Formats: sequence, C-alpha cells, structure tokens
Amino acid sequence: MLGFSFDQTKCNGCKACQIACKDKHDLPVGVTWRRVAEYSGGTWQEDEDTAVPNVFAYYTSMACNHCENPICVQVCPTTAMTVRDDGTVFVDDEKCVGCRYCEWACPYSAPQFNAETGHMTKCDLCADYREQGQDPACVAACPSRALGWGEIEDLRKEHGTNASVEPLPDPSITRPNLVIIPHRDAQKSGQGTGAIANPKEI
Amino acid sequence: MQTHELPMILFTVLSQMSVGAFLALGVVQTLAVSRYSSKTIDRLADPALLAIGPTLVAGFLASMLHMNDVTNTINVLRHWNSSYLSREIIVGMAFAGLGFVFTVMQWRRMGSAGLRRALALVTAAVGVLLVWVQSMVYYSLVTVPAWNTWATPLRFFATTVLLGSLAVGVAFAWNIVRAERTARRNDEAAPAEQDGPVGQDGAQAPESRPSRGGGLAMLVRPVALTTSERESATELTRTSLRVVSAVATTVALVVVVSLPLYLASLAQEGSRAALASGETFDGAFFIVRLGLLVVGAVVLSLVTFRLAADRRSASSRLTLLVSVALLVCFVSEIMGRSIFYESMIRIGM
Repeated sequence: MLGFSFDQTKCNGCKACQIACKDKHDLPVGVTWRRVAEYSGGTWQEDEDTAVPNVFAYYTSMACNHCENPICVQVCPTTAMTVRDDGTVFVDDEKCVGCRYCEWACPYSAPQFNAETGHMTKCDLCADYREQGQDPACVAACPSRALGWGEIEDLRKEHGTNASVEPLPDPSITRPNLVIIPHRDAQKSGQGTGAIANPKEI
Repeated sequence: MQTHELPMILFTVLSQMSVGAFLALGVVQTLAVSRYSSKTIDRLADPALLAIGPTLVAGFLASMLHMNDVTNTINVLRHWNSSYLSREIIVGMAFAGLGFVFTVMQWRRMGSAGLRRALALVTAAVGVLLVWVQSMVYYSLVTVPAWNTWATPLRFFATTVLLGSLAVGVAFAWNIVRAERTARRNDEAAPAEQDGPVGQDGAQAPESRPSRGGGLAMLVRPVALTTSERESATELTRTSLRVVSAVATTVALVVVVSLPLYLASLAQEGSRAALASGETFDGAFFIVRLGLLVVGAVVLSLVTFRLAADRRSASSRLTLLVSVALLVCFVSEIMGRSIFYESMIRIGM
C-alpha cells in the first residue's frame, strides 16, 4: 500500500508542494489537493517584570493519505470512490454524481469538488508520473525534502508510525497511510492547545 | 439561512412530513375505528392521503438538485451495502412506491380492507425506517461531532411527528369546512331535503358536479355527507385536532429540553469541531427558529386544543388556527434544519 511521509522538522511552509500539485493537475481556483496548514499557539508567563513568551508554530502539508479505512469510499453512494490495487483511492468520473458526501466525511479534506465537471476530484498520488518512474509532483517539488512517498511499510520502517499530530484527526478513525516526523512542539491529535492559523487557505 | 444545502433541507423536511402524515393517518384509522364508521374516517382520511404523494415527490425533486451531475443519478443505488446515502434513496423509493400503491388501492377501494390494512402497516414501517436511515446518513459520520450524536435521530423524528400530525389536522379541518359549506349551499338549494344524502348523488343538488372522475376531483370537489355523517366527521376532526395539538406541544417541549443536553454533550466531547459546532446554535436566526416553534407548536396549539373542545366554536376559525400553526412550525423546522447543516464542522483539517 502506497502512502506519504512528511517531516515537520524540515518544512518551512513555502507551499511549493501545493503549487506543484495544482500546476501538474491543472486544478481550477478553489480546488487544492495538497494544502499546507500552519498550526500555532502558546502562552506567556510573567517572570518578575518580564513577560516570557512560550509560543510555537509548525507546518503540516496534507493531501490524500489513501487510508486503509477510507471513510470517503464507505460513504460514497455510487461506488465512484474506490481503492486501487496499489492502495491509492481514486474517483471514477463515469460514476460520480457530485453529491459531495465524501467531502463531508473526509477529515483531511482530500476529496474536493470541481464545479466545472460537477464531479469530485482528489489526489491520485500522481499515478501517471509513477508509471513513468517519476516521483509525485509534490514530493519532487519540495525544496527541503520534507515530503516522501512509497510503500507505507518501508516508510514506517524508516520514520516510525506516528500520524497522530495536530491539526490532523486521530489516525484510528481512517488509518491513513501516512507517517509524520513530528516537529519538536508538535501536539498529539485531540490534545491540541493551538489553532490553524490559515483556515481559509486550506 | 443555509441556501447552499437548500435541496437537502427541503428533501429531509418534506419527506419526514410525508412519513409523519402517513403515520398520523394510520393512528387515526386505528384509534377511531371503534367509535366512528369507516366511511366517516375514510371521508376525512382519503383527501389527506392524496396530499402526501405530491409532498413526497416535491421532496424527491428537491433532492435531485443536490447532485451536480444528474446523468449519473442511477449510480447512487450501487453502494447499498455500505453507504447510508444509497440506503436512504432505496428506502425512500420503497416508501414512495408502497405509498402510491396503497393510495391507489384505498382511493379505488381495490382489494379487501384487510389487504389494504396490511399494506398500510408495511408502508408505515418502511416510512419509519426511512426517517431512521435518513438520520443515519448524518449520524454515521464519525468525523462530524455535531451530527454523530443521539440528537440527530431525535430531531428527524421530532420533525416527522410534529409536521405530520399538524398536516393531518389541517387536512381534516379543511375537509370539514368544505363539507359545511357544501351543506349550506345545498340547504339553500333544496331546503326541504335536509337529511337526505346531498351533493355528490346529484338528485337534490342541481349545482353539484357529476360524481365520476374521482382522483384529483376528490380534492377539489367539496365532500358530500349527510347531516349525521357530517356531525360525526366534525366530532372526529375536533378530537383529532385536540390530539394533534397535544402531540405538537409535547414534541416542541422535547425539542426545547433536548437542546441544552445536546449542547452540553458537544461541550463534553470537547474537540475543536464540536465546540465550533455548538456556537452555531446561537444568534438571531436560532432565536427566531425557537420562537416560531414555541408560537406554532405551543401557543397556537394550546389555543387550538381549547377551541376544539368548545362545540360552539366555528370550524373555519379552528381551521385557520391549525393552518397557521402548521405554517409557523414548517418555517421553524426549515430554519432548524438549516442550522443543522450550518453546524456541520468536521474534525481534522
């Protein structure tokens, strides 16, 4: 099963991955398969006459995680949303009615509606690039090499099994094929004290 | 107001009202049969039954607008073994189909009374299943805390019972007003024949239209009854209106009481999404929704309850009251459903 790895310690939030994806798939305005969330928070304490800040911020680049337990596939009424043999989740244009139920269900905002076709669209891990032996566009574009892709078993062997990091949902819900190398200030899913700083971007 | 989800708001509210009306008619048929002739009951219930179909069809038509590519519509049935959305459409079509067959049989008096009764029972059960499956479409989304709660089926069944029973009350009341009007007109035309069957049978009522044609004419043409039948139908209507208003008030109280419990459960869940969802149950729109519910289902219903007990009260006044109550509750439910969709905030990013 294929998946992504993402190293929060390397990402500086440049969003090259997001733009590379948009360019490669020629996505219309409002459809952004890969998005970079800025999660920030913190407090400050008074130390005698000084206010000491204790704040944090880190980035998470997110597309589809081609989950092992894909809620989008389960709820889709048409079976347009299916899992390929390599584990990637894709939308069959011939079947989709554009009811957007998968959009309601996915906690990673992976399925996105294309108003031009009236269908749902999503990351297919650049199936055509992979066929030609190339890396997915987002992975290839990352200047700090924070993104990786491959067989999820290999990625987990290399980077560990963590995928429970704010602002992502508890991975037990959809079991994403995703590995996160957490930022030093990363907070566990469900126990976050911060907030997404760029909600309109993602 | 959530205009974006308007197709879904109309579909869920109208289909729930249809199921509720069908159930309410079944309850009337069952409870009234010991005290009233089946002719009296059918005279009141059949026009109400005929109004359910168009309501349900209007709901289905609205739901079509929810899809962005109708050319693939038939595909929505494919994933019945996993998706509650597929199940909702399948059960909805089953309810519509059974309801249609039952309505035709009832109106044409086809088949035995027992057979029709059995069919009505199956249809009612499928109707309840429809509302349940509809609520599961939302409840089953574990990623949406505002929907993944007991409050979702409660809300959907509250709409079903509230609007369904009020709609049946309105249908009965209008029927009586029409029957009284016909009787008055016929009295003027043939004052000597006071107690004979008048109107539909033609002889004594020269202005009445021929009785053949049935169908929609049944809704358009005033119901013709003998004086004693009319009195009996009036009594049944008034008793029904008392029950309907008591039911409406009870449902409204359940809805109002459940709200703080629901908001407390969201706060307890504690996720960012749950807390943000809780905040949508606030503001002028929400206050107006609750206000209308109280006016329609409590204030107007209590007045209806009192007035229906008073035999001297005019039927026209009672009809106006219960009609306004239905209208106010309908608007309130549409607004409430709008807030329901507004509260959809997902966990994650």
